[in-house]
Amino acid sequence: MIVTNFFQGLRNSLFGKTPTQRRETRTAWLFLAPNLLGFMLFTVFAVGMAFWLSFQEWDLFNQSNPVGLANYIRLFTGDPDFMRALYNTVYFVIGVVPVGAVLSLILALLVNQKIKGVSLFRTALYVPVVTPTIAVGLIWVWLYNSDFGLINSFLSQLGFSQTPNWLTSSTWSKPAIVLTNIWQNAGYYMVIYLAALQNIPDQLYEAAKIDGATRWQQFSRITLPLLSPTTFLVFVMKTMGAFKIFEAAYIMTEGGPGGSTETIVYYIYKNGFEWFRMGYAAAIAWVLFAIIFLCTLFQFKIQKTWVYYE
Amino acid sequence: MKKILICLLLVLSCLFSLVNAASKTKVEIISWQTFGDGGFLDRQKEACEAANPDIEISYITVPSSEYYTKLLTMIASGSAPDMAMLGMDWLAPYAAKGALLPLDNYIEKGFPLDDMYDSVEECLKYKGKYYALPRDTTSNVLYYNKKLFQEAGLSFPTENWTWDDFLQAAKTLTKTDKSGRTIQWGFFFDIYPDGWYHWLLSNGTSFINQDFTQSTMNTPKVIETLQFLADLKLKHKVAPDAGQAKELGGSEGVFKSQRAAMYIGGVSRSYRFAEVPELEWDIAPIPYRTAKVSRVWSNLWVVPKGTKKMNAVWKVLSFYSGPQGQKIAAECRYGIPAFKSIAESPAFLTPLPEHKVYFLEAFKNGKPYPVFPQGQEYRTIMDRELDLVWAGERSVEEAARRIDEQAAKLLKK
Amino acid sequence: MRETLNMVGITKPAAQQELLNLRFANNKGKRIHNQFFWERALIYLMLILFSAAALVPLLWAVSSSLKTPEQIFLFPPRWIPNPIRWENYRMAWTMAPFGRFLLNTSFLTIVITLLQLATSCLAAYAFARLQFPGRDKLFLLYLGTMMIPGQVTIIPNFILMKFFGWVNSYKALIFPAVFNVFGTFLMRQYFLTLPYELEDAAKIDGCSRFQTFLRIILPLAKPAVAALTIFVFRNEWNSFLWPLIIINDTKRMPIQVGLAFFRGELHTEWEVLLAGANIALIPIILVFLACQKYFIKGVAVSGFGGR
Repeated sequence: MIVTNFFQGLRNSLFGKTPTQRRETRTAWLFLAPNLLGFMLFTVFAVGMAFWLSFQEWDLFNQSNPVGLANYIRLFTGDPDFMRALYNTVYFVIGVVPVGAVLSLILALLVNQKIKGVSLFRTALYVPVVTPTIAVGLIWVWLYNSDFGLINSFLSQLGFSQTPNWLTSSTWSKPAIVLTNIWQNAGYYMVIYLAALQNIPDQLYEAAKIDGATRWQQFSRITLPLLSPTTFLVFVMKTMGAFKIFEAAYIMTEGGPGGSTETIVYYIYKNGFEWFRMGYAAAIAWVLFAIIFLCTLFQFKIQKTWVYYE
Repeated sequence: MKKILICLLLVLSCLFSLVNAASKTKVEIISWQTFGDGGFLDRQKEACEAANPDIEISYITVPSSEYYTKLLTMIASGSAPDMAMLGMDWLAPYAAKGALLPLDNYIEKGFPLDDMYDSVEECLKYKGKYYALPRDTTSNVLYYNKKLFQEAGLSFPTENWTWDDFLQAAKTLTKTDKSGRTIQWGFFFDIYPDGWYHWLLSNGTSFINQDFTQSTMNTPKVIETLQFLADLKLKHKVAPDAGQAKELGGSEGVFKSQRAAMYIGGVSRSYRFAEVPELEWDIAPIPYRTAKVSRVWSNLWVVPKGTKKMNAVWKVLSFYSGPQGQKIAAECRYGIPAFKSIAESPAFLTPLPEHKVYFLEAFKNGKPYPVFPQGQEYRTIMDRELDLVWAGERSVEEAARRIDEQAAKLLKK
Repeated sequence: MRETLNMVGITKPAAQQELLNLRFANNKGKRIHNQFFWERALIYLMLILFSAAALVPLLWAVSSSLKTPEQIFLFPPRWIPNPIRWENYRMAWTMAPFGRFLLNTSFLTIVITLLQLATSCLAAYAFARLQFPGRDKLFLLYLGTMMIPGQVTIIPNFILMKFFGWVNSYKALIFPAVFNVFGTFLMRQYFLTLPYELEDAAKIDGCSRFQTFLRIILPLAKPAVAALTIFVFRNEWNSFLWPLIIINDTKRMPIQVGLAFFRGELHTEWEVLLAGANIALIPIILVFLACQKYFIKGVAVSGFGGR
């Protein structure tokens, strides 16, 4: 009797009390099954394994060795290469996020004008977004060439006598990658801003005009505040994206010159799949996650001070 | 009835041919070189299959930029091919990881090691055990464009060319257009370590000591050499600087398209240069400062750990590395044969260039490229620091000091 | 406004939104007449400049890839190649197996897109429209993992693939990519907005849950499906890090990895390398131009996590 009760209780709490509920639960699990299986294996289990790995030393060839916190300790105390990668990555985040966001807003404001041919411009500005980073990376290497590249010949026609060696000087390699990244992503965030702009009711502007507001006042008092949730979203997304820059550095500079464009993800790749330090690579990945998480948390915390919610 | 019988026969013969095909052992070989273009890989496969009818050879190519990490990944994940091409600098790192199969037992059964050059035989071993057989070997020589030399009114390089002679010629051979852009370079060199290591040898030094325990970058002769190379790029501007080099593309292309008059490299380059009919070129020993020493390099064949067909693999391996295979490679202009008898025969010496014998002379006076288990990580450090030297952002002394400092930690392990 | 639309028989929320957008658009149109001429000229000028900045790199790559080696180093640069040299594309095509790469990428993109759509929509339906114990907790777990960057799971997944013996196989490229949390999230959010009455009606007609899902919910969710399709499609066409790690030989290599691998081989000449880059670039741009509406609308629908 007790046993049946127990099983009934278990059944009720797992599958529902009535037969209809139980049928629905069964259906639900059937719907979920394909996705859930993969999710459990490739995400949940993998995350757990990554955590375990970060406390191991393993080169794929020999037995793995538990090393405790050694990987993390080495990361923060004995690895100048990691510190440089971290610095480079933060540079990219700071370089890409604000400039990119402002540019995308300007573009959105421009293509939000109801003028002839605007959809053509929208398309043109969106083209870089769909391009694969590897292919365009090679193209940008060609553009950045020091003597015959389009960018430097343009600069020298403008009258600059000394043009930078973009990708082969450690001063200019980072700005070069930032520029390429902004070029590639501007259109995407433009569309996000555009969608938000189109949701701002016209009546607000009408009312403002009646009150005698100038264009600038309309922009700063209506558009900007109403866009601030979108701006927040754009900042969060761009930050996450910029922390993961890898492909551009891989294809354009291979992390050079002198390690000046090696990012954290690049460093994970090198440790994991060039030097086969699986545990160390997993530890770096976790640190990357922690940094992104803290950054996002910080952005959420300070949003209250500047994001305007209706 | 007849029809049925014919059908049955057909089916049987089909089955038989299937069984026959299945009885062939498949040997998969990985290399960074392409196949299917009638090159030496295709010819070796053809000859090897003819000699061993029970074996079927197939190739996979992984381009050189990613070759070594990919191959190691394959071995680690248990999906490695049966036989692999390997540059000598990777033998120690691979063997130290336990990624390769020792070959001593097989070599004992019979492989003509006696006829092999000693410096090649040395390359096959790690910690006293054989892990490889030779694909071929090479020395570095100076390739020069005869036409550009004649146009500049220069006489061709000789055996007694010093660094100074070289520099003078390079200056004369460098041409700029009206706007000051260089359109023809005196010299082109690759900035990876093996692209300039021979310069250290020709100055009687090396970047690491004899037993690979100490990096010797910060020593007067090494610094003198690196300064000479940096000056070629930055001071005399007879070789493209880092930015310009990136512009020009690969070294082979630069010499082939006659945008550089001189280039230092191994035998296999001549295979590519011979493809361009309008290119008139020859070779000379590399210029020297204090020592007439060239760099010796061997490419190897190895067996990744985990193959289950070692009998068949050994047949292929000993064929490719053995006299027959070496002869084929030599005829295709691929490297110097590892065996004295073939290297000093017409099989190697007849195809162009005219002074091909310089390869052999350089080889006999050559020293092998330094190989040690931490070699690749050491190289990463070196590349990173020297990048900045070639870009003119860091002094040679500073870079050398930093390399030694970082290498000290690495080599202690 | 929506009531009016319902009355005239336009009931699909997407269609309603479309019309509502149009209304606003028209309203905005009126404003323009008040603008000064020079202001519009300035806007055009800026649009032209920015669009040029967006397109010039790509056009320059196309132009350069059709030049002879002599033309490519001309100074000042010339835009129109003369003579046009298609030979560069043929050379790139023979130096690297681009045909194979394109075939692989097309195959992978299509299979992954279809499978991911299927698993995402099914799971999203369960999360959005079905009641079962533990649903919200499970969904929270899904959401929680969305924050974790793919770089964390890449190493364990490689080891999993090694364990399954899947390294260097299509399986390794397809399966980990098929179960996407973001897709599930996106579809769930959309399913939640659909009215429940529809399902009740279907239930009365005796449809099973699966039939309801297939015949009623899915067709209504077309905009979200389109957005997800585009999203997955672009991601897969451009995917790089995972195939770079997991694929070893050229037979199964997708185009971006193939291009990266062979860049050394192609780079003996710039025009050939650029031809190679263009081969990897042009198909996706053509697809974009053909369905740009969906591409751009997809961003608005998918919003968060689209990048």
